Amino acid sequence: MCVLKSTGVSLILSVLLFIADSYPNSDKTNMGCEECTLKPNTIFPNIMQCTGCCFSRAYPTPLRSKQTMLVPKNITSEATCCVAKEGERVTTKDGFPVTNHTECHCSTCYYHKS
Amino acid sequence: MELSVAMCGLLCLLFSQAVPMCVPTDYTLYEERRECDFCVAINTTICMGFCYSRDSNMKELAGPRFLIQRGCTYDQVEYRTVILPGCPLHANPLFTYPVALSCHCGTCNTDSDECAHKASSGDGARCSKPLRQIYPYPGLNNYIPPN
Repeated sequence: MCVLKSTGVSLILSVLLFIADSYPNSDKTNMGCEECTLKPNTIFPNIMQCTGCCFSRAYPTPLRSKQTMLVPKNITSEATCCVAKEGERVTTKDGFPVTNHTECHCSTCYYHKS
Repeated sequence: MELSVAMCGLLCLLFSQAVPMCVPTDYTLYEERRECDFCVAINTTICMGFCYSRDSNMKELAGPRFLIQRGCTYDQVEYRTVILPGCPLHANPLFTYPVALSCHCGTCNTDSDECAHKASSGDGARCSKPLRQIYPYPGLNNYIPPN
């Protein structure tokens, strides 16, 4: 009985681990989010980069706001993005001028429009 | 007993990374028109949550090419119409609002959405007139409240 129980538990655990491992490590998936923080750049590991998740929302545009719009829109989108608060300009070993991020925060998104 | 606790803990640990953070969320919309007598509270669904973004170390060299910037926004949306109570005959009493059926992390579509730069800290003043609650029937796209 105990053996059966252990086998069953091991099987369930194996299935769960397989499912968790099979989720793609892609930035494009809408998965659980880690906070906006410094991480090594994948191309230049000695350079730190701000990556992570920030809060955003989209809601119906209030009537009062809509009346002041030149082109009234039904939906208002408010977003914050993980960007560098501070950084220092450095040159990589290959001679590329890059910015080494030293502090991150969730702030204005300038490139999220389409 | 210990096994159940361990299983629950492991399940939570594994699926916490898989739970999407940008989801439809219940929201109460407050609307009033100058010519109408009441402010109405309408229960709807909006998109709210956390989305992944990434700043670029090479903006001077490559511009926004390596930037990832997304916001939580509507994916599938349904529009519903209600009649605002206490409006005079010459005023248009119809009010149409979007209901989020699903959400996703994506770019802000400037054709249909007002892309604000930063999330506001609060919703501001809601009503200056007496409040009326409107309860649209679920699944009904056009709701007309009884007199």
